[in-house]
Amino acid sequence: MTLLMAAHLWRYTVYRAGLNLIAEASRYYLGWLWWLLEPLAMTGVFFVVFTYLRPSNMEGFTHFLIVGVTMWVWFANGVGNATDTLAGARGLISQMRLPKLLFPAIAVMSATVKQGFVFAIVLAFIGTVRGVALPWGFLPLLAFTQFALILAVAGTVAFACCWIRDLRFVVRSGLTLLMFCSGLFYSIDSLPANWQDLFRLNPMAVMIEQYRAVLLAGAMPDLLWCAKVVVGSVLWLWALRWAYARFDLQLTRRVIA
Amino acid sequence: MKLSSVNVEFCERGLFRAGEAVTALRDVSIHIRPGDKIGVIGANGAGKSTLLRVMAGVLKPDAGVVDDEGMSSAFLSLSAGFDAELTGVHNIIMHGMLMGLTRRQATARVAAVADMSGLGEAIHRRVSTYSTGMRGRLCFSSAVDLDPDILLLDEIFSVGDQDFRRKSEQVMRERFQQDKAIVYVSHNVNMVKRLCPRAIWIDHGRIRADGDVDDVIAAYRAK
Repeated sequence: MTLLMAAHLWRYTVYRAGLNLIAEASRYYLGWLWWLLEPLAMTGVFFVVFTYLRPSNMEGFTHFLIVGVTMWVWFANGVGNATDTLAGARGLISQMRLPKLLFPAIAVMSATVKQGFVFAIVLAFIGTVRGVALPWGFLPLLAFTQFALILAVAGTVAFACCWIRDLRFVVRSGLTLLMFCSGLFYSIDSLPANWQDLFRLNPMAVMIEQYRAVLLAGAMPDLLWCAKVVVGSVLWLWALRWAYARFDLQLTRRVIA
Repeated sequence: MKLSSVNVEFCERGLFRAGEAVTALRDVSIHIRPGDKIGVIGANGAGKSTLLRVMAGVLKPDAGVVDDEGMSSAFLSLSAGFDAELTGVHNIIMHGMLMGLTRRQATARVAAVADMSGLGEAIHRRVSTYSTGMRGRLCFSSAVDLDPDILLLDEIFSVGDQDFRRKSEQVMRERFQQDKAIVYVSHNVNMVKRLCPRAIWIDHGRIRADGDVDDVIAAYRAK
């Protein structure tokens, strides 16, 4: 693929992601508001559970929860939307030979634009209530790290679910399990010491910790960890690109048949 | 483009059921030269659309060889891959971008495509609100100005009202006058007879006849 073609496909991905969001918003009475209401509702559920049913002693629990849920919803929407993205593009795939990594990329881009809007509101809220610290300047780096991670996971999930359709059920349960293992409503530090390392193998758990460190504690993120995730994701995406190209026609058959 | 002894099978497998292969194309050999106008006829499920997908490079045969001989191709069918949740205008722009146009170029052709389709104000509505005929008109109009070496057409005339059919037939007649190759799949043998000097009859994935359109249609009708 030439650089020119890659640039064209990138522009198509961004445009298509925007159109997907317009289409999605037009399907519901509350339209765009659901972008905000969805993470708000999830935060509300956890808030009720951990304030009234099983109270958390943590100071500033609401802010802790909001940051965790916002970043998790971005990941879950990006990966979740990518699950059926190839089957959903059956009409196009049965007619044109396109790089199929394009379809999970569009799903991730849609989730990113949507969550970018929510993230801006969360930043405004936390900035107003707690103040802005210098390390906030690292937020674009954190967001880029998470974007690369989501793209790598979504591309893998889309490929796997196209190859073996049954995997979509595993992905759904896997996302739920991962949500409970990502420290949305508890701190990984509160776990027994021997469990902490295990939980931190989940990049989303560390990702959320990084956001909280920057936004709530005004601390520096772990730049080395971010670099490792970005490099790992890019290398994985490179391998994925090869796999998509190598098995392109087999994927087409699985979509069409 | 040359297809030599092409076989295509589809197989559904599951843990609790044995895989049963369905042969879509069996030992198909076709040579398409620049400027050929070929009509492909056959019953439902004969393998006509699969043949076009193999020619378009979308499907890879299980056996046999497809040599495009350096010719580009574009596959046009009524299922066009349009997104029903988007408006006609957005679909035209997306389709154009997928064909390699920049967003600006794709946007610039919206008016012409809308005019050709005759959809009027409906072009700004979601495609999910369109009738089958309206979808077909949108699809035909947004792809009619493609200019590949081989144009692969799958049942694209059977849509729209009388006026649109006349208009689209006129446009396609002009395309059929050009020196580019066209492979045209249809159940409408009269239309094939009018447009194509050569025809291929496919039956259960096999080529039953390939040659002069009158001879092939006579054999098809006598089956």
